[in-house]
Amino acid sequence: MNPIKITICLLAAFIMSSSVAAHAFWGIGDDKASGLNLETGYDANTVTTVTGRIVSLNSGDEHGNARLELVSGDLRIVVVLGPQGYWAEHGIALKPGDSVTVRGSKAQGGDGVVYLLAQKITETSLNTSVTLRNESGQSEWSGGGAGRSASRNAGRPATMRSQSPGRMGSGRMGR
Amino acid sequence: MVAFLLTVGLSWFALRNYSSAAPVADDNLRGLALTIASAMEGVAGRDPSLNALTSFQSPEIAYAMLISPSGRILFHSNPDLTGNEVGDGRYRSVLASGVLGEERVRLGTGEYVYEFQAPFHLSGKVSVLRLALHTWRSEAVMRRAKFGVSLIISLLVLGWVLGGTVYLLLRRQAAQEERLARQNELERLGEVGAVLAHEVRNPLAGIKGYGQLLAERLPDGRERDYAQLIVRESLRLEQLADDILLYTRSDAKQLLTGNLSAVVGQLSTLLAPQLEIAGVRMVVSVAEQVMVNCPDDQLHRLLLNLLTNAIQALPDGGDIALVATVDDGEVDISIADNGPGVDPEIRAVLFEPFRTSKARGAGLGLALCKKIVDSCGGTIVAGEAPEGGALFSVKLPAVLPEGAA
Repeated sequence: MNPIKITICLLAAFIMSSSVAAHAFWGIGDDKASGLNLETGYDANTVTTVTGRIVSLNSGDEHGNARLELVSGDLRIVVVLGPQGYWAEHGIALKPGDSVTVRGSKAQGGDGVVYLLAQKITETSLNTSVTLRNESGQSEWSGGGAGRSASRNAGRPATMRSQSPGRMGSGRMGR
Repeated sequence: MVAFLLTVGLSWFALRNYSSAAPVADDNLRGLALTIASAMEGVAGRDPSLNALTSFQSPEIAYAMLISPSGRILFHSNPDLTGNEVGDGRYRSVLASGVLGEERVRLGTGEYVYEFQAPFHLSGKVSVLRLALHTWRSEAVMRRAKFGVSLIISLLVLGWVLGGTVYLLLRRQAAQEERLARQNELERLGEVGAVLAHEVRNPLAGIKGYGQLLAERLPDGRERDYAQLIVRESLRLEQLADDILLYTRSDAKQLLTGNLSAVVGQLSTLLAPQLEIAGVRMVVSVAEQVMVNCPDDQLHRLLLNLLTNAIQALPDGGDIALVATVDDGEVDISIADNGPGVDPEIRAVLFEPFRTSKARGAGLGLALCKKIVDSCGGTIVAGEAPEGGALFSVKLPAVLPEGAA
């Protein structure tokens, strides 16, 4: 074989193997850039309410979740709305520029992005809202909560009762 | 050696840098937690109702809660949880010991946070502040260290791969140049030898002829012995001239077929007197009608050279075994003796021309053998016989009888 071809083959093999090795060594590339459980994750301790303006909408990310990005003050937050199929059927009409109030569990991913796993989202100008999780954080699409699509165009806020403290799925990583 | 030391040094530097990054990240988080705790204590001291704490916000806080000694949540960053009972008793160890507690905890969202617990003085009573901090910003130092390790190791591997490739290429080029130089040298030697041989043959024929004439006509005695000596030496020179001419002949591949069984039979008869004089026993094992892709005259020359060498290696007598087997389209001919064997040091140059360890020899015999075998599409190697003598193994393409394919 031509020496140049040998060198090119060796370099290609090196680049591929180093990429695989780096992924294996640093534990990255496991299909979760954020490292978060965006489908079913929720923690009552980090529940917060954020009001902001929608910057962009994404009907389905690589995990099939509908998302929107909003700006609240200086903070950019990615709101995870749940599976795109569920959102298409039960979600409310939103577009960039709309002002929304979102209540949900906040988390910072391994990619540095702040995520909000939405429990309820309200479009403030039309006062339309949809509840995506029950008060303990169980998602509507997984059969949790008292009823599907709790309030829509109801004109009244969903009642939020106190939630039990502590962690859900609290795996520990001691040092 | 320098490259190896450089690799070890850089790897050590990268790993040391990485291992020192984790404590730095922890120190960052601990310092941040202490600052926040101190600020919160100040705010709570000014407003014992804790209402002012609700306005206390930091992007680094995942959540914060204040736990009373009885386990009730006095304050929580999620107001809905204030007043609830805390779900675990981990705060008690901090309360009892008064020592800070810190660990990594995975939240229900899947995020790993740094959890910090510290005694919190509120209106003369001691409560526990539990802070969960996002780690992403503080762990930037670890990400940089990881990147540094990846970069250094990648560059080292790349350097070794490229260095190895360049080394192999240079070595191959050097070997090629050496081979070329040797080939040119041999070509020049061959040309000179061929001219010399050609020029020597004609006068030699005359010397040999007159020597034979004298040997026939002279009466028995010293003069006749001299004449016979002239004839013997002339024959030796003639043989040498023939060898040189054969060696310098074209390298065209041989397409003629030879009968190995017949050639071996002829050689056994031809060498019988020589073997008897030398006290050498030759055992031959060749099946009938073994045909090879090598013409009879070349085959004859090849085997004669190898057998003559073997006989010469046994001046005090011994055994020679000539065995030929057919296997997978090849004929394997082995000639083994129980003489002193071939010196391993000269084995590498054994088949090169004009290299000999004999006092009387031009060093063309084995070179000719190699040339014949090459022209027939075979291989020849020298090794050690099981009995300790020399072993020459020749592989030639077999020619199958018609209809046997």
